[in-house]
Formats: sequence, structure tokens, C-alpha cells
Amino acid sequence: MKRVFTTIFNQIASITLTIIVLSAISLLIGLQLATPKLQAVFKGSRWITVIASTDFFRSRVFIILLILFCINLIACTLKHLRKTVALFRVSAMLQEDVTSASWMTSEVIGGRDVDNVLRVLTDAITRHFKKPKLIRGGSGIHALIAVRGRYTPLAFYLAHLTILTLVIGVIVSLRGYTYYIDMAEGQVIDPLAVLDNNRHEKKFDFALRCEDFSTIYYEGTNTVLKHQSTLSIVEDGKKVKTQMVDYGTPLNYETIDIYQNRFVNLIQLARIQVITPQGEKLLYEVKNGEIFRLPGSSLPIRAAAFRPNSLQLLSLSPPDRLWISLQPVRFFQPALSGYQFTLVGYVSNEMTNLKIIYDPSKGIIWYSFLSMIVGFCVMFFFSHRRLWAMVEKQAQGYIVKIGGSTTKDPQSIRKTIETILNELKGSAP
Amino acid sequence: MKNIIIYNVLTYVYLASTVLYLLYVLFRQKQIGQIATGVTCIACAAHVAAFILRWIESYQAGMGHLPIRGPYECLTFSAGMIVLMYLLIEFTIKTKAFGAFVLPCVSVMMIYATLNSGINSRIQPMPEVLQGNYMTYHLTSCFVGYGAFTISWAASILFLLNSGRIITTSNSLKKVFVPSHLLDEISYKMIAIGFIMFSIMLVTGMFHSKIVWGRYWEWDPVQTWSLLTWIVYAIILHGRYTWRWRGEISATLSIVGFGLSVVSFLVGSGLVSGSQHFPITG
Repeated sequence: MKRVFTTIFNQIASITLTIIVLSAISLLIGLQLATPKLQAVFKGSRWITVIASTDFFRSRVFIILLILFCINLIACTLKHLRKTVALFRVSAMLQEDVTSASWMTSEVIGGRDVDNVLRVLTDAITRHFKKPKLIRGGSGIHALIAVRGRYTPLAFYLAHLTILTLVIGVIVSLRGYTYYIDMAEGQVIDPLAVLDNNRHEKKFDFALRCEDFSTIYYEGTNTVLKHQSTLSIVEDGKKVKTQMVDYGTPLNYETIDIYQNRFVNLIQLARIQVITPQGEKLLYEVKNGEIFRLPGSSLPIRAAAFRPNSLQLLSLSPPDRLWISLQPVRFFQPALSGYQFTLVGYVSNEMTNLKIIYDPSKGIIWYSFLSMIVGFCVMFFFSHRRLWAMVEKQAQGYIVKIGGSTTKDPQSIRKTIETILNELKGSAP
Repeated sequence: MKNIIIYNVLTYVYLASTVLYLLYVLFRQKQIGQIATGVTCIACAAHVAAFILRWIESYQAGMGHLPIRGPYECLTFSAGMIVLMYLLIEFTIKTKAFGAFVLPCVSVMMIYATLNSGINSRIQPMPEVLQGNYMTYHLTSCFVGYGAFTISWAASILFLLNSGRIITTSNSLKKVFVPSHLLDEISYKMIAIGFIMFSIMLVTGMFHSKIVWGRYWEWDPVQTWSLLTWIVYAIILHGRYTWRWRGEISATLSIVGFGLSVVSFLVGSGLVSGSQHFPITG
């Protein structure tokens, strides 16, 4: 049972699986991206119609591949964890090195005193590599081991784990929300309240005040450089923070970030002309959300939504909608179809539109990103190198075996070993 | 606009150095190689100057932004990055053979940027949606990444030429090339640099996407092409560690990865359709 489990675990943790899964993911992405071009080339083909109608990024296969990739990443990290922990124990290192040295050589040298041999060897290794650690064996075999870049294998975990935390961060960010709010100059929203993704109201224990807002244009043109607003956070009647925000510079306070979005020209009051079935002309002045009733009809109509140059009317019972503008229009609803509606004027007010973002994963993603880059840099440009030497007494003298392993540039470790051996021969103890 | 004049002149200088590098590879004359390097060094210095000048001129024009926006700036900046990286490699490993592959790419980019009437060379205002620090890091890392992938591609082509896989290369021609193991190492290191840069580009792009769209990932064509390129290079790096993909396999895959990065560049810089769609502000 344990063997079966180990085999399955090894398969799941293998980098072969990583490559297969990544290849499959890239194949699907490539297919999705190439579909419009393929459609143009293979017009009317049945299989291309099937492909074109599939959204691969939201398909089950794609999601399964992504999950498999995450599982593989975790398993691979766990598998290598044991090996890396072993790297911190010198004896375990030595055991591994003797069996998997990148380069190894041996030399018989003279000398009567083992301590003298070890001292000369230690000096040579220190000079050309790093000061080694001595392990005295009970059976007359002594070993020296030196490690450079001891902690570099940890970069592997950093890089892999941070990819995982990035994915987790993106998933967690779905719990956040983006809410848009319009504010006039000098307006205070007390307390600041927003709607989350589930349309639930969230109230904060502070108020937001819009001090002013302005548009900056590129010199001598009508092209907008940026929109900006000066906002203040007010707590208990005191301004605790005042900052100018624009599209890329937010005001951060507690858990939210407030960005400038755009300016809107919001209609405050609309003048609507209604021509009754009898030809009578009536003029109404309505505010956003206000309900009014037409003469000779008890049906309530609400001014539901204001847009520049247009206004949406909502017949509440029976329900019907109608966008009115400068041209006369009628409801489809038979009860109201005799009335003509025209927007004849409005009083508008320019307001700043702010974007309030709550992102619970901002920190996770930011630190994961930094750690990932550090991990990649260490992984790609720093090596873990080990050099060991074993000294054994034989009839003809002392046999010195020197070996080494490295994660990068095996030629350099070979040269180091050769230099140490040559030096050892030159100064035979 | 002085910078445009410098960029126009640079196009011809790069063409001249392309010819010189090709002549060097064909005739193996040391002097030709030295002239080629000298011309490229001068061109690179002038390129950096033109870039800084354009930056200053953008402030003088009241626009003030890093000149890496739009097809013209994308092409000229990428060409500059490639030349800069190439020269670093040339001086590090003391070889000029790369120039015969890298400089033609640079020339094509510069010709397309400066001689194509469809590309506007004037300094354009930076749209509000593309402003912000994330975008600066995003675009800079992106073009450094493309530069690294181009060098990796050139190293891979040279590797395959060395191995006689593409064409049968004469021994005398091989003399101007670098040893295969060194080419393989350069290709790997450049892929590693490009991969790190693409990672920075992807994540800073995600942060910007969050501000603009409210979501970190949007499956936008540019994001998706970049992700695809990143995944392919991740596969190459994993294969190198696990299956010891070295030599011909690694070189071939590096060329495939470069092909994808070219598509990603064309889509991202707005040279082909599928560019990022941003909500209109204002």
C-alpha cells in the first residue's frame, strides 16, 4: 500500500507532469488565441465551428489542468523538502555527495600523520573554495566538507510557493469589490458606505469629503492629461487625511483604496414635456428617483436614471421602461401609449466619479511577487556547490579522494578540485 | 524634434553595422569586426541619447512621460535594449558572430519604425489609463525581456549552425563562432533574464489591470499572449533542470519561444490587432 502511495505521489510530484500540464495549458491558450484566424482560414469547417463555440478559459478541462498544476506544485515542493532539509545536515550531505558527485578524483599521497594531511588539505580547500568542516570517522576514514551557497536550494521553494500564493491571492481577490461613487465639490458622505459584490451595504466609521476636483489638459490641446480630486477622510469631525488622487495614485485608508475614475455631468433636475392624448402640453420638473403621475391616469412613473442628454422613465405598474431625449417618444404600454414624452431641459452638475477598491489579497499578491522575483534570481544566478575530501590510510600512504557537486557550471568545480590536488601533490605532507 | 532625426540617422547606421557584421562572418577579417563593433557602440550611445532627448522633449511638449508608448516608441526602445544587451554579450565573451544575427533584427525594427508612413513618430500624449508607476515598470521590464529573448534566439541559431543542423557549416566559418557549450549557456542565461523580466511584466500588468478593470486577470489578448510566452519559457527551464534539455532541443525550443514573444510584442505594441482595450475615461 505504501509502495503504491509512493509511486502515485512521485508521479504527481514529478516535473515531467509539470511539463505535460504546462504544455496542455499552453496548447489550449494557443488554440483559443488562434481561433479567430483559424475561422477565417477554415471557413465553414465543422470542427472549427465547435472550437469557436468553446470558451477554453472557462472550460472544465482548463480548470482541471489549473488545479492539477497547483497540486503538482505542492507535491513537488513537498518532495524536495525532505532533500533540502537533509542538505542542512553535513553527514547527510556527505552521503549524498559520495553517491552523486558531479566530479570526483583520488590521489595517493605520502605522510605519516593523518592530522598533518588533514591540515594541509583543509588549508588548500579553504584557499580555493571555503573553510571545510571536519568529520572524523571511527574506522580511520576522515572527511572534510565545504559548502558554498548553502541556502540557495531554498530559492526553489520560494519561487514555487509564491506562484501558488499568487494564484491563491487572485482567488481571494474575488472576495473584494470595486464600487463607484459620484461626489460634488464640497460634498461629505458621512459615513462612507459602499455596496460589495453581493450588493450588501458596508458602512465605514469615517466620512469622505471631496475638497475639489479639476481636469488638467496637455498644454495647448484639448487632450486630457489627468483628472484629479482632492479628498479628505474625516473622523469625528476632524480631517485625518487629505490627499490628491488621480487614475494611478490612490488614497489608501484602512482597508480601501480610493482612485480617481472620471468626471460625470449628472442631471440634477429634468424638465419633461408631456403631450396628452387630447393634445394638452404639460411641463414637469423631476429630480432623480422622483415619482410623478400623469393627468387622467393613476399610473405612477419614476425618473429612474439620468444620463447626459437622456433620462429613463420607469412605469411602475404595469412595468415598462422608456428612454427619453430631445425627440418625442411613447411607451409601448397601451395605458400610456397615448402620451408623448420629450426631455426639454435639465439642470446638471459636474461631479467627480471615484473608484473605491477593497482588495483583501493586495498584500499577499505584492509580497508573493517580490518573493517570486527574489526566488527566480537566486535560482537562476546562484549555485549550490559542495566540495568534499576523504582521507583514508592505506598501505602505500594516505588516499585522498576529492569530489564535488554543483547545480551550475560543473567545469568550475572540476578546475577547483584539480587545483587543490595539484597543490596537495606539490606540498606532500 | 531632434530625437526623430537621430532615430532616422540611426536606422542607416544600424544597416551599415549589419552589413559590417555579415562581412565579418563571411571574410573573417578582424579589422571589419572591430569597425562593426565601433559603429555599433557609437550607434548605441546615440540611441541612448535619442531616448533621453525624446524623454526631455516630451516634457518640453508638456506631455512628460517615459517614451515607451505606441508602436514607434516600442520599436525604437526595444531595438535599443537589444543592441545594449548584445554589446554586453560581445564584450563579455569576446565574440562578434552574434552581431550578424542580432543587428539585422535591430535594423528591421528601426526601418519599420522610421520609414513606415503608417507609424506616427511624433510624441503622443500618454492616455490617462496608461499612467501610473505600475505601467512604467510593466513596459520597461517587458522590453528588457524581449531584448533578452532576442539574444537567446541568436545564440540558439548560432548553436544550431555550429552543430551543422541548419546548414553544413565550414570549419573556417565555425572559427568565428563561439564554442557550443558557451552558446548554450548564453541562451540559458538570457532566457532566465527574460523569464524574470516577463514575470515582473505579468505581475505589474496584473496590478494595473486590477485598477483599470477591477480584476487581476482579464484574459485580454495581450495578457494571454504574454502568459503563453511565459509558460513556454517555463517549460524550457523546467526541461533544462529535469530532462537536461541542452543543446539542440533547448536551442530549438528557444527559437519557438522567441517566435511567441514576437507575436506577443506585435500584439502588445499595437502593431497587429488584438491590443488591450481600456475603458475610456474623461
